[in-house]
Amino acid sequence: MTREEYMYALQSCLYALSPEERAAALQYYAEYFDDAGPENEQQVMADLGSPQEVAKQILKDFAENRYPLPGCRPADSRTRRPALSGWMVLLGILLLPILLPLAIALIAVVFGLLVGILCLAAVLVIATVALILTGIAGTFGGIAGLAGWAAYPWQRWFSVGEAFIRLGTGLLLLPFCWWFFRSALPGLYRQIQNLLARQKKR
Amino acid sequence: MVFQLGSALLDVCVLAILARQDSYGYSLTSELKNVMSISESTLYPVLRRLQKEGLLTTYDQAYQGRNRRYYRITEAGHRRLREYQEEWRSFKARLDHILEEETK
Repeated sequence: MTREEYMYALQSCLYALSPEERAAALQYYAEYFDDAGPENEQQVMADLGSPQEVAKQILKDFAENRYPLPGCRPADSRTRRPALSGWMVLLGILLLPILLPLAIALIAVVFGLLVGILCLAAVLVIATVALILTGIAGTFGGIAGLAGWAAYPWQRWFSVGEAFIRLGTGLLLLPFCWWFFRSALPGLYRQIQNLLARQKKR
Repeated sequence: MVFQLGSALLDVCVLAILARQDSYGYSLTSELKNVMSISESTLYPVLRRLQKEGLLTTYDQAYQGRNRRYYRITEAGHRRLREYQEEWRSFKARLDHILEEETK
């Protein structure tokens, strides 16, 4: 191990200390290496023991003397939930002119989205049904109208064709409706549930 | 070197050495090794603790283009040293007494 590796390992082992304490300890040992001289680097590391051992000595002393040992890694702060302090209430009241319209806007957006989805579903159903029904009716009517094909032949064929288009489109929409109501909507519903669940966990 | 220094005796030795002259980590370690076989890694926690208790202060001094942190004993440190010296004299007397009893 080189001196740099040693010092780096020592630094990692001292993560539980505050930055000031860690810096003081690292400075002490850096100077120790300097005073011993580069030719004695390996000897120093042998004398000191492993970085883990050195760190243990330091941390043990801290524990025994009950110096305030700061929280270890940042991950720890996540377990503590901040209580609703008076400050937060005061802040909430002061920010009400901003928060209230924002909240209303947010509710409006969510409501709008829900209505939008509802309309989409309705449109889909109506369109499909209408297209199919008028398509069928138009086909029969068109074919019946072909009887007088001598007068305005193109228009009568056009009616039949156009009715076919309607019927065809309606039939094509059927699988789409199926997918929409069986997969897309439930899927969206589940996604929203997940989102809300994750919010609650925090 | 039969006897290991307990924590209190280590404190005394450090204070006694610094009472004569300010010193720095490496030098202190060398001097202490003359007294007993301490591990090099035990000294720093002791120095840190004594400093936190107000018995030592530190100051930095440039040496050959780099920094060297010196330890200096305080007034409170002197007082504690005198207390320890008293304790030691009485302890040594009792110890001598017991040891001499044994060899009779």
